[in-house]
Amino acid sequence: MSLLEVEGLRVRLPMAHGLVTIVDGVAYSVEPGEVFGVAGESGSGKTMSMLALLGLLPEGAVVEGTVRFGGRDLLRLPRKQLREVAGRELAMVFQDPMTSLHPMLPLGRQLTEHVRLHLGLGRKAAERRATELLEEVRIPDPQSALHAYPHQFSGGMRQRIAIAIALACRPRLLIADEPTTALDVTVQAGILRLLDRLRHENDLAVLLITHDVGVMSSIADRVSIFYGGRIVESGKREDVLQRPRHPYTRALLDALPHPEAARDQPLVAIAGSPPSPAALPSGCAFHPRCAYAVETCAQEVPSLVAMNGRRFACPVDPLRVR
Amino acid sequence: MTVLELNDVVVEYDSKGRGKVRAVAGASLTVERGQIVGLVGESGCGKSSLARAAVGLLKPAAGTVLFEGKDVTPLRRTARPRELVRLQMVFQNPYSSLNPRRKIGAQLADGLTALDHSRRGRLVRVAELCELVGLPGAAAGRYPHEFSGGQRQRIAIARALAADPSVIVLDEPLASLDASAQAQLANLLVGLSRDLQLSLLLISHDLAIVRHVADEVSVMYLGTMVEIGPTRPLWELPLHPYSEALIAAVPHPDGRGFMPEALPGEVPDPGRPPSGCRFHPRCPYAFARCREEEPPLVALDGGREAACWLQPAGAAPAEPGERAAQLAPAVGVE
Repeated sequence: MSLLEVEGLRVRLPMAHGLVTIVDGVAYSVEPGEVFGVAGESGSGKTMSMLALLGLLPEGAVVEGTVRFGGRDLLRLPRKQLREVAGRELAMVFQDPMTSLHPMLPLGRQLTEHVRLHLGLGRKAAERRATELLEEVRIPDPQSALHAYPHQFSGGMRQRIAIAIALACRPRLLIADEPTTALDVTVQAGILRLLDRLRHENDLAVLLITHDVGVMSSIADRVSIFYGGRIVESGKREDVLQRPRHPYTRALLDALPHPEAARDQPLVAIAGSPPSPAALPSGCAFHPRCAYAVETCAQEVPSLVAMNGRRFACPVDPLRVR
Repeated sequence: MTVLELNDVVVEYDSKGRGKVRAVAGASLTVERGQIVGLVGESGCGKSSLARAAVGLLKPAAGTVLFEGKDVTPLRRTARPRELVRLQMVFQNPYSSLNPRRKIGAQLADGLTALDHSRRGRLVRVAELCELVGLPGAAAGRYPHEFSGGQRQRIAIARALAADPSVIVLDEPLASLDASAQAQLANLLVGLSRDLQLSLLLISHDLAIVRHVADEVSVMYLGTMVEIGPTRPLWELPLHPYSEALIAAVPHPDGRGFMPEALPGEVPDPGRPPSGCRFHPRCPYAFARCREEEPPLVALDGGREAACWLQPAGAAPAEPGERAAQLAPAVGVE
């Protein structure tokens, strides 16, 4: 059984002109110990669909669908119980660790708070657990780190600390939203290796949200590509990134600089810019920018079709057209 | 022809309780006419400070900055010398450099007033600038918030172009943009450079983009230049262990599951740089000499330069690991 199963997830947020659909009919599942990558441009709904799982959406948001996690439907849990689950079995790491670390509290306090609250550990036991956690994410000299403050660490170390806090109650699923975006590549590589080790050693499932296809390509087992609030393609990493079937995936990959590309060969940019959720094009949201679009694309929203272990939402298959 | 030349530039900041901190500790760089030079390095390596010194936004503590052969005088209360107008800068976040309350056309025209006094002439030129950077003609009548991040960065570039520059220094112009907007902007920069014979100094932490657009790359570590060379050879055979580590850390978006290499350790505090070679505490090949003497940047075959004891002046470039293995018995590589 999957660890996490999302079906028909729809998120609408209140805006100036009424409710706007940000996520529309998203479905996916995550297995234990798996890294599931979610990629898309800004505004594609990838972050909002994750915040919905944790009940962290802004006031007035309307969420529909089901989110099964460990036999429960998270969307139907009472607030208090959701907090219980979200604190223990689910954890989240954000782009900027300073938003989740308290600047005025020593790390010890921030690392023990969790385990004392959720696991009911005493002060001594909680401190031992905190030291273990810092060791696990490779913070040098964990004993003295417990008495240090977040500003005394570099960006990469802070992100490691945020991960340590997220791991405090041994969650089964870690949601990581752009965890390396603010970091240098050399430090990013360290965080990616850390996540990869954690999933192997602790059977931790990771839902990795990123705009960086390179990051996704290095650790994700399966990936899904978001566009205009919907998943347009999903499947095994190598299938989707090496043989994309949806024109948007194809275009997204073509826009990246290629190591073997000839000098002075321009990058292949996608025409136009991503649509605003408030003014989504009719039919397939990608059709105005799509090189393969046919007449029907503007009229019908293509459904996600399963084929050979992958799914894509496009009646025109760029692989076949080429 | 060299249009921008930085010689042994030192940038210092006053830091409370720590005295002076050297963000740039003697760095040199040249940009030729029509050339795109990429400047890469981890955050805190001094690349932004060097960029600011290059355009006169801060005064170097030592060293010289020459633009078209003339000294770049740091910006003060008095008017900037007329010649320096052709040296322009574009910043990372266009939203903080554009005035949110003024129309794009008016902001572009600001850069023209010094050059063109006729109102009609300015209007024509504003339209040309918009077209040059691929903005719709109607853009002039709109405000910054009506544009996407990528379009705003185009506006910032158009504003720099208004001064008819020969050099533009761009500090992380592509950061915080989506892949497609990045591609559009990278293409624009290459096109402008080729069509207008414009020189660009492109500061970026995104190595993949730099590799794609730059003719030449300078690699900076903790305030000094560790390697300079033509882009492609530098990527294929990085000569400094730091350049090697930077390139190995870049993820590959090819779906093959390549796990990037992490560089152990942290960038040291520029206020207390390590002895000898500044990279030696993190270098896998460091030997005794590296801890004691700082290697100078020396010229090697193929128009390349590196500051590493493994690359002796005038020698043929060699892979750092290979050279270290050859030298191992003699110098005691650990």
